[in-house]
Amino acid sequence: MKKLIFLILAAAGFVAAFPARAQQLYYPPAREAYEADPTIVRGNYTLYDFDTPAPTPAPKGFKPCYISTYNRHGARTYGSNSGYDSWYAVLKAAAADDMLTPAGKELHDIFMALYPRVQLRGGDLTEIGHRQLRLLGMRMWKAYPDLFRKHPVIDARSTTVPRVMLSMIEFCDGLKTCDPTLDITQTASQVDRSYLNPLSSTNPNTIPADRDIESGKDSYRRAYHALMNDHIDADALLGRFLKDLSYAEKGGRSTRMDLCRLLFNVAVDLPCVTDEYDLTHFLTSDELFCFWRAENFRFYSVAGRTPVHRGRNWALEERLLRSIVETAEADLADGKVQVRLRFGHDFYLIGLATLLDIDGWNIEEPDPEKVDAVFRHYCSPTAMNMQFIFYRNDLGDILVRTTLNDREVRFPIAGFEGPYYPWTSFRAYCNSRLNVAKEILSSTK
Amino acid sequence: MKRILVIFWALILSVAAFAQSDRTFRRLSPDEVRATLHADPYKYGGIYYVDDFSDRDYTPAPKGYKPFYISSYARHGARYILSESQYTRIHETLTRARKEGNLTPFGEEVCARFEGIYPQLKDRAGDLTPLGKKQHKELGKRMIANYPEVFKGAARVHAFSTDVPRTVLSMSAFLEGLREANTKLEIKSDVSLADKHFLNPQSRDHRYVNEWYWTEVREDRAQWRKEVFNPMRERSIDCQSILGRLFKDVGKALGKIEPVKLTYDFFFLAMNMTSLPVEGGFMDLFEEKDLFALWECDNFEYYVEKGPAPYSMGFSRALGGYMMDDILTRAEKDIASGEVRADLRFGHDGCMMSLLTLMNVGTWNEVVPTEEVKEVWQVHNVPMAANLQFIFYRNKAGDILVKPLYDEKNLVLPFEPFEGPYYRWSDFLAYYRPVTEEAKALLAENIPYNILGRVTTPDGCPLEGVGVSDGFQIVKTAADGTYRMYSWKKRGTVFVITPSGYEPGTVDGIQPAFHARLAKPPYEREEHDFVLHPVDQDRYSMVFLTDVHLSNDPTRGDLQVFREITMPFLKAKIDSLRREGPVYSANLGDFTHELFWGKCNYGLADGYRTFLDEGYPAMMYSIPGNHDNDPAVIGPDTDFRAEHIFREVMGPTYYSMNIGRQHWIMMDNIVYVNTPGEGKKAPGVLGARNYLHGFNEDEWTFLRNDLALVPDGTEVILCTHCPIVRDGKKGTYNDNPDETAELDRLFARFGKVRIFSGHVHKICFSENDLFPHLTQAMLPALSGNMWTTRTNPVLCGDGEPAGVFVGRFAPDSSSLEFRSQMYGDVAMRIYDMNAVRSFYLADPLIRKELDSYGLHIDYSAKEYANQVYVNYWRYVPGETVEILENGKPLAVERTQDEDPLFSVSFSPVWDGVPDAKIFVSHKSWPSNHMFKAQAKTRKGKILVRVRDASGAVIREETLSRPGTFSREMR
Repeated sequence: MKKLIFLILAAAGFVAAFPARAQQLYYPPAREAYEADPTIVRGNYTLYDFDTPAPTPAPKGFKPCYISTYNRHGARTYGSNSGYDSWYAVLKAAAADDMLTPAGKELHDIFMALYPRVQLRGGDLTEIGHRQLRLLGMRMWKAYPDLFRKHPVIDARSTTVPRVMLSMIEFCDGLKTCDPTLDITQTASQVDRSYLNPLSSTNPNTIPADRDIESGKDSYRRAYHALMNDHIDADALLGRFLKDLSYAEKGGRSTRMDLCRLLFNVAVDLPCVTDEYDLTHFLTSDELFCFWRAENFRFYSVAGRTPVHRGRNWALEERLLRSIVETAEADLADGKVQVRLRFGHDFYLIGLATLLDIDGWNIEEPDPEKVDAVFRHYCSPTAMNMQFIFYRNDLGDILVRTTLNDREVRFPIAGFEGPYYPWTSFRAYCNSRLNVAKEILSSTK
Repeated sequence: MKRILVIFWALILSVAAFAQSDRTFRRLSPDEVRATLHADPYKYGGIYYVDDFSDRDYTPAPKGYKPFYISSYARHGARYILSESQYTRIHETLTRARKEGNLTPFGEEVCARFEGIYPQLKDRAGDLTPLGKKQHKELGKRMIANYPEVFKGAARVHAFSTDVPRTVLSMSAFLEGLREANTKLEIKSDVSLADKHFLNPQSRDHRYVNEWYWTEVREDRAQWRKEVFNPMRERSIDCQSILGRLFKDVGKALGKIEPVKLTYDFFFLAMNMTSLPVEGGFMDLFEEKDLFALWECDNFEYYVEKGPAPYSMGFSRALGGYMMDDILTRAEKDIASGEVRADLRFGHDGCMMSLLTLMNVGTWNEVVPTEEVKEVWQVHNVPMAANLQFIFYRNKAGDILVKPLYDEKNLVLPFEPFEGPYYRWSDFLAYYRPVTEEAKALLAENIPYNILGRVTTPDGCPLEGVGVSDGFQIVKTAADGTYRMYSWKKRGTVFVITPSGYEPGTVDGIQPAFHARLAKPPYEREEHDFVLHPVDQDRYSMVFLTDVHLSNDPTRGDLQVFREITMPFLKAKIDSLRREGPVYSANLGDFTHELFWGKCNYGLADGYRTFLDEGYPAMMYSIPGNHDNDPAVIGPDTDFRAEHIFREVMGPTYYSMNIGRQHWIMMDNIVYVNTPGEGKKAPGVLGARNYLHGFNEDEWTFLRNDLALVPDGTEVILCTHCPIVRDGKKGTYNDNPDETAELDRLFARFGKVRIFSGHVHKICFSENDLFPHLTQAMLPALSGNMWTTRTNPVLCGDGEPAGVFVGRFAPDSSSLEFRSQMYGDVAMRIYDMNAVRSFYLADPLIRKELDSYGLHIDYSAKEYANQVYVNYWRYVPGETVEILENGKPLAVERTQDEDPLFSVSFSPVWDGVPDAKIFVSHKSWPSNHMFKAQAKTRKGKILVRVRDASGAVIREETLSRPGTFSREMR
């Protein structure tokens, strides 16, 4: 137990360095935000902020009775093996021919030390990621001990991606560490894919064109590249490390900019893997900022309220929201399941926030250069999660409180300030959003 | 099924005793195998079997020893069927048949049964079932209960799983079992590609993945499947009758689905039911004999893919080496540091089999014939959640013991235990470390070489970069002269492609020793070394022999002519050529004649023997002709099998070599068909001896691979038996003109490729613009018209005296010269047709021939008066032939008219000779190089003048008239 407490403290201390970011309706100019906090460039690799505000106390007589969640996996090694592999190949080849600058040699040494630890681990949940989810599980138990002491039926579902399954396992182990007698059903099956990953073709609402949402091939890919090519000098960046730029070809990437982008990605992800090294200082602050803007734009284009997919990208999240609402309804009615845990990915959580019209996730901006004024994907950190906590009083009245990353969320529901909303009103609100989504999906087929 | 169970209850009880005993994995008798399966029919499901693991061992440790570390590998727990396509196929086939009224009454019932549960199965293929979760949770619980010392306090546990969800969730369930007993445990769980090589070495994406294993063992196209497995399934599984119970018209129900595939879908559906949280069963689809056949084939497939079967050349077993390596390495590290108390691995059935095989446990590593595999391997021994645990114990003195458990039963290892089921860790390491390293070293080769050897000079100097081929692939020798390859050994040969400046020695003075016959089965290693002699090939000669047709036929006396005329001629010619450099010869096929093999008791080996006995003085490279095929071979793969005598006597049927500046490709281009029961009959002939012109698939493969190694612009020469480009006309002899076009395309890199061929017994130089990169030379038969023109013993069908062409290759030029056997360098024969007319009018034999058959031109006709015919057999396209009478040019016409000397020398001579029937033909022989002119007078002197393409005079010959004509003329 001591070890565990230490773990919690360590994680808390670790994240304390990053102040809580309150969500706002309009962001200050992005550059200003970046000057104030350079770590925002980590984007979706931002570490989860466990320093969370205390919840608003429940109205008198209301006790937690049901929990429904969607949780993104925890911190991971940069998504694909190519990031490390490409730079490893470039630096190794250049080093062999003495073609590295002093900065290049420094970068080389870090890569060589790092490589054995990350090789073939692209996309893997890191130890920090493991810890994050365990901690979230333990925190949930500790936040609702009365509910968990009643040995609720807990149903956990994950996508079949290893880092997500492991996130589920760690979350559940966090719960079981608090009470080993808990019985949890864990599932990772194609059966649940259509709502855990609503952009997948298993979602019957998708049309072939929706495959473009994540790839952006036909819609926003060009603008994404322009955000990098118009603002970043790839040759200058590579020239800081390589005496001869032709060594960039050893990375096997289609463009030099792409190789540069991989360095950015690996650098901003590195805190998810280890704090022994820093790679961000190899990039200028302008480069970091501009790569971030491009990545931020990409996230917006996949899951935000971008106009490029005519709303289909977030309207498809209807599948997930409907599953949450309908299972809640059924579970509350038959009392068979008390805790429903879902584990998946950032895109679908951002899309869900967009669909739910949550402040900060609901602004449309057609100009790629201006997207950073309305959307910040660092608000989708590793282990990002949305929780719907249901409360009941003796009269059987039900309230719902929603949190996003452990911060309470307020909805434009007339007559209520939040964060506690009557289930009937919240459900009506959700249904109105579902209707908006259905309308979009049917009119854009 | 119940009834059968009752009948055999006594037998069941008798086998139950050993079925429940410890894990010695001893060999079972065929009866014991049947009884075991019969007693628990779900065991027919093999890896689908669910064992309740209720029979467990817990042997107390030797005195003073306490458990302190555990290492394990476990298969995931019970799951749904392997692949969603299985459910989909069953669903779609049944519902479609129902719609089409194609279900039997039993089929209707099965369809209703399946469709009733399909919603509970759909999209769940491969998922862990609640039972699977329970299995692993209980395994975890029992482990921590049995070995609490290992898991004390905040003990660190490291778990590894493959990335397959059912395996990840099995790990989770196992860890839950531990967690429930100790909340302080520090558990680390990993799922990473970085670890996959020791969790699932049989997967295709881990860091050491072996492509050979995948292509040659796992994939459908693997050779062992074609040779062994598919025939086994076809022989033993009666798909038609199994599926016929469900479908009225099985073929219609199947559509494009393979019968065996759908049969197995139903089989696994039935076998899988005990794993599922679903009621029902499908065992009634099968009779027990069906189950046995399906089981035996399935079992055998695992034996090859994951076990010791020779077809994997040890690779299937060796893959377990990555697993054992991790077990040993991690144990040593974690025992030394004391940091991690348990390393738990979660994976798959096939990996477990490889590991057990590598460990040489019981009969897992026994190599037995296919039909006995079931006695040493039963894959139901790797049931759902099968698990291998190594429990480590230590005493105060620091001595370490390890107790291996399989499915929680004591496992007997192939070396002496310390006591009971406890083994010394040092013994364990001493036994398994070398085994592991050996396995890793084998896999590190990437390919399990089954042919290897060395190419050197006679004094042992290694030759690097020399191509060596099995008739398909070509590998190159390394710096130390060694080569190695994996070969299916289909062509039964390995040969070296001699580099320029070297020649092979000869076996017997004639046969070049560039090849070796493969002696061992494909799944065994064999070694073949080659010695190449350095030789100056700056200038060399190639003597082309073709259609030698030795027959030992007393009627024609061919051997006598050969001995008295041909061989002395060859010797003299070759000896004179040798003064200028090395001399090689090419035998372009039809060395003997298969119709006389039996009739004259003279086979290909005898023909070859004659060459040896007569002291043929040069190295001879041979390719087969149509008459070199064994006409007694019919049926499948005739083309290959009928060449067996040729391969035995003369070596490979296609190959290549470099001599001087030329790359020579020697190709068989007879695709022998030998349609059974048709055609000319002679002793030992079972078919029509018919054939197609072209290359077979093997030959194309070699040709492509060979050319890939030849630099652009190299002079390439192709030798074949049959010509490829047509004689003087557009088109090709190949039955498929696309093949010739493809050849032309392949040769484009080399400019123009010369093709030398025999077969037609005539001289013709031919090319056409359909195939701009090919130029064809058809060469005269050494036998003339098969030794049939007695008075003029070696005359070819189109009139030229038989002989050889000699290619002479020098640094800046090459030439092709003709030498007739009897008359030296003769290029033409000029006929005074007045003399021919007289002979035709007077000779009784030719008159009778013309009267009886009428197929020949009657040169006695008036129109031939005063005509001059010139048979100019050295004609090369581009040349012009002028005929002058008394110095005045006559109008010259090229004609296909037959050669008069040949016409009077062949068929008329044999008319009425009974023994000649087998070879005589009365048809006319069109000529490719006949020119004619109408002279003005009977006596005018004739001059024939040939100019080459540039207009230069290259030959002049005269004829004084009146000329003469007789059978004896030259």
